[in-house]
Amino acid sequence: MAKILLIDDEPDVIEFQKKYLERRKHSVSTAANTPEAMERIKTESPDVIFCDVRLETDTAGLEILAQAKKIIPNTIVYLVTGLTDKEIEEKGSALGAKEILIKPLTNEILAQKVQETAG
Amino acid sequence: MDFRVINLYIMTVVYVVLWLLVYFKGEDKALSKVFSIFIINMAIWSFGLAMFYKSLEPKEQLFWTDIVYVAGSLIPSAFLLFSFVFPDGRFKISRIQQFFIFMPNVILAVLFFFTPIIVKGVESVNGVKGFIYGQGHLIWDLHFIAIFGWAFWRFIRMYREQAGIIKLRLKYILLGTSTGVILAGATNVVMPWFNRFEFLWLGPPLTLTWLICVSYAIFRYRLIDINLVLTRTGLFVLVYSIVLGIPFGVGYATKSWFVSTGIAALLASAGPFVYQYLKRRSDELLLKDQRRYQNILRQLSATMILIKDMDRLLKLIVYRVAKAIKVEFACIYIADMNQNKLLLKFPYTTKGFFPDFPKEMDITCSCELCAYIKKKRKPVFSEELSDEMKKKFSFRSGIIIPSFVRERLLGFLILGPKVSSGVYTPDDAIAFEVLANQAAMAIENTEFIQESQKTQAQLFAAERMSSMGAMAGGMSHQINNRFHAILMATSDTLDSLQFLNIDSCSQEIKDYLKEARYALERIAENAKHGGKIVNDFLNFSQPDRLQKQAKEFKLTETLERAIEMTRIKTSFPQDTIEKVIADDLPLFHGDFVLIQDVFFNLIDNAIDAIKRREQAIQEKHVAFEGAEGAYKGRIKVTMRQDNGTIIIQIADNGIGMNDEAKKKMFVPFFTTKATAAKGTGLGLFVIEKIITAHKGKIKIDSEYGQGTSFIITLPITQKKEEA
Repeated sequence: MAKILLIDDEPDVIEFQKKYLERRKHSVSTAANTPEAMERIKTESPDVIFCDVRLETDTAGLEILAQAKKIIPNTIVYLVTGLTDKEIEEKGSALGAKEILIKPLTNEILAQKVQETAG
Repeated sequence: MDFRVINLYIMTVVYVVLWLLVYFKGEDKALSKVFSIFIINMAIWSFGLAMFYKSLEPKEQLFWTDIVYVAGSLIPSAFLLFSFVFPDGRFKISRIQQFFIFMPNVILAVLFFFTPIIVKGVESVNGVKGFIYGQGHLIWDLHFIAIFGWAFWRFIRMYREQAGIIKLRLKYILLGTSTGVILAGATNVVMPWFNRFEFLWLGPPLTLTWLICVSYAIFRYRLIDINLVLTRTGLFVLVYSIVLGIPFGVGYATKSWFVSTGIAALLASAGPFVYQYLKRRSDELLLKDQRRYQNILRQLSATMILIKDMDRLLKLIVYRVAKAIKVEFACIYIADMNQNKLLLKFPYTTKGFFPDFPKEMDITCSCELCAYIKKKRKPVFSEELSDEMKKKFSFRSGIIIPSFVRERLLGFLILGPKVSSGVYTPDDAIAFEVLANQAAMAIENTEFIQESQKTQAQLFAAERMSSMGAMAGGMSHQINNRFHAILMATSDTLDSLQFLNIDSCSQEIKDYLKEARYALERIAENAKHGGKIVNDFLNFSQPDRLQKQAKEFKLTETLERAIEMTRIKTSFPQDTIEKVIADDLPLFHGDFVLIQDVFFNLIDNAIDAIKRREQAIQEKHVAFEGAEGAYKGRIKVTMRQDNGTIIIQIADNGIGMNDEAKKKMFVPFFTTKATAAKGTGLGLFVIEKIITAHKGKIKIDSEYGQGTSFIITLPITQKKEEA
């Protein structure tokens, strides 16, 4: 069972992801913006983070990734983006993202990723 | 005073005036100077004769006789020298040779002034003054005939060699010389042989035509046609011989000065009108062709400004002018400001021969011809150009018409000689100048229009591209987020349905949940498909995304993998695909995955085309009547090396494409596949992008009902495959 943090500013996305993963007995918390996300990271030390790149800004996710890696170096971070972009890919990998996932995704994929890395 | 003396005085004055005119107005200084020697001798000759008639003392008379003869001997010598300077004003003989031409004149002068060998004295027989010749009096005549004959022969030879305006000038010279010399030669050379001295005084007026013709030829480049001059002169003589002859005849017959004066008054007042009328009519007849094309040129000038396409305008100018004037060849040089060059355009020829003109010229005046044209700013006759310029430009005969806007040379039209071998006249030059000015305006106009259209199009395209790019990026992100949300919701709901225990539910509820599950699955499939479209489009609309994983690989391996992938997807029979692979295929350098994508897409398309043909046969479409059972879908893949490239052909005998589909096949989002679910409409668009990114080419050959064949040509970049 893994501690998972879902960061996305879309309630529709978060809600269904949370339900799905909880059904598989994971402990899931959510954040809709950078401050919330930082709060959760500090207080809950998640094993796996799924983080949307575009939040308040086009690259807010990269900031969160950098901070998260500083606070809990062992955490596994997946960046989620709607747009393949060389820059984001390069920076994301450099900052230690496990993988950059391109939307649209399915819950099966998320569950599989969790299984692979923290299962 | 003696009328002969008055006549000779007048002639002397006329010659001096003519000399001054030629000397100061002649366009060519060297030519004018040499011709001056000729005229001055004529004047001295004329003056000498006047003094000969006037003087009473024998000694004085002999002195003037010597003057007359010495001046007379200088006339052919000067004419000969003139033949060595004409037509370009350059001396074609050395100074020593010039000296030898005048050497005999010195000897003759000595013989005249110091010996009685040629002329012994003067005597008067029956009131007619004449010379008493010595034994060697034919020396002078022989010298005269020899030197004059030489000069005349030289002009005849030149006349044969030259063309255009120079030929015309030579025509004048030859015509004037022969009439003048035949007449004056008779009165002043031949008659004295027989001791007939009555008409010595007629010599100078008779040579006047000679001089006038020659001097006209010197200082006028733009001669009017000689036919015109002759006709006009003929008409003038005719009209005035009637005007003067009739009263004279009437007066002579009736002996009544009253009747003859009356008739003279009547005719004299009608004369100018009759002459003007006849002149106009004859001009109309003689200049009919010129008037015709000058009218065409005027019309052309007026319509030109309406044309807004530069090439069409230039073509119109060249062809219309060339055809109207009927020239042997024509072309236009147009300035290209970006390159600082004059470019040759629209060469036109009627005789199948076009001169060896340079394709382009430097506009910055470094070329002599351009410099000359820029200096003159008016139509340039080929005769004005130096031999060197003509040779360098291989332009022998014709006219160059430049067009200027303020100081800027826009270009020039070159017209070869007229087919009729007629010359370009001053009237032509005026018509051409009008044409050139209008052309300048029209050219500037089209330049401006085309330039502004281009700028506008560029601005528009740039703006559209940047906003399209930004929009595509932003929109794709948003759309993908929607698909993402849809997929999350559906996949979660489908998942929760799986965990739901519905055993206790009624059959109705069970059926309903089954339908709902199916609907959710369809929704999820469509959302995934939509996401693929968006990502494909984004990936391949930016070519720099390609080639990031270039490496060397075997194309055959890529093909095998693509076939395998297609088989998993569509499960076609094993024997559908036939492979013809050359043994010496080299390794290919590129992106393995992308090339595999290309093969996969093309084979997938081929399978689809075969299936659709099978379907069409089943449904008994008109095009496939009677084909039941006989059809077997086949795909042939050929790979071979050719001239530094690898050629891959994937040919199927499927349904094929109609013309409509062929036109649109590389357009993004265009698909012929039955439902959008089967294809994204991006396959061929993406394939083309991938092939282009590998510096290759893709060609298609397809016919509806026959099949489709794709031919891909990829450049070889690396060493041979060692299989």
